[in-house]
Amino acid sequence: MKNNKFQRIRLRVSAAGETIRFNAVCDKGYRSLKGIFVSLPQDKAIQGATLGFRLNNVEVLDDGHEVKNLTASNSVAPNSKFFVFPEKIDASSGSIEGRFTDGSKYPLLVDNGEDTGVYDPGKVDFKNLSGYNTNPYGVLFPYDVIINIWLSND
Amino acid sequence: MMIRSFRFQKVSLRISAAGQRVYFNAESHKDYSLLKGISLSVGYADALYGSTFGLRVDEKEILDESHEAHLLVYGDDVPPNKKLLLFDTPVPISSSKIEGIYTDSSIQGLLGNASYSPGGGVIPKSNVNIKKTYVSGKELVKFSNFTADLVQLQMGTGLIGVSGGFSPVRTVPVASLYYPYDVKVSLFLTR
Repeated sequence: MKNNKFQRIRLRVSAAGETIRFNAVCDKGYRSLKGIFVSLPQDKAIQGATLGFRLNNVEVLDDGHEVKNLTASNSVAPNSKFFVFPEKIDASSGSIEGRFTDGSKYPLLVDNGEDTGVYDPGKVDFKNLSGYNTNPYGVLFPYDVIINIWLSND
Repeated sequence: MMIRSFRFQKVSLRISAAGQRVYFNAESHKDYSLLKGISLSVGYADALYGSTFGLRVDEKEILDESHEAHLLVYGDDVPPNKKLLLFDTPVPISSSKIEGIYTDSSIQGLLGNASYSPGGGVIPKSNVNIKKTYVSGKELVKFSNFTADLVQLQMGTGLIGVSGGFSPVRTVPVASLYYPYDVKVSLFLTR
């Protein structure tokens, strides 16, 4: 068996502001969770998106953790792309419970011209988001998020 | 209950108007004893230049109020593990009082105002009354700002600049900003 494995969790985000809860089990045979990398198909979807997860019921990243901190562009060398956790996290057959939230309500805040910045769901018609051309931060739906988890025996 | 040896504590701020200063105070998480690093995430890159961020921990200044916000942010071209400013000496904390103040960049437009800055945009700190610089986006258009960047001027407003000199005709800030936008402060804590 290899010493490293990159396990993937794929989520489909269908609407602006959507929150997706997911569960996964770390592959057997690997002792620790070394790092994480979140891959998004649209740069515009990065701003405001959050990802939190717990491993064996212990919080690793809180729900407000920005995906921005867990991703990198193609200009980053492959060996530096993952966020490597500052401590060794025991992962043997660990269960993961996570929550991904799309950040697109953020540009809505801006575009709907609310002076106060208070997001009023009643005023936003999510169905009309396709063709949201005036918004420079517009995100197209659906899109897939791939969460890459780096498991290791180090 | 078991907890990790590290934590990213977050503070979210909403900037609703040009030149706004937003103050916050928070308590550091009780289970962590060192503040090792910080980063900012700002909704608009255009909002960064001139924006400032100050930080105090237990009344001790860590970053002064004029610390530029763009020194604390990062792009997607930065490896995830390098997206924090790590302090040379971690700051000891123990349920500490953390205070911060973020000032929106639109103050930059005011600094370039002739009446405010006869020296051409560079003004001594003592001459700036920060309290006076709070203006709403609407009020800001009353100022006619000088700008040295003709390309930016032409692109931003459609005006033709006067070649070789300053053009005093400005009715909007150089960078068009959308309000509100969010600033997220991440504090890297360890035990």
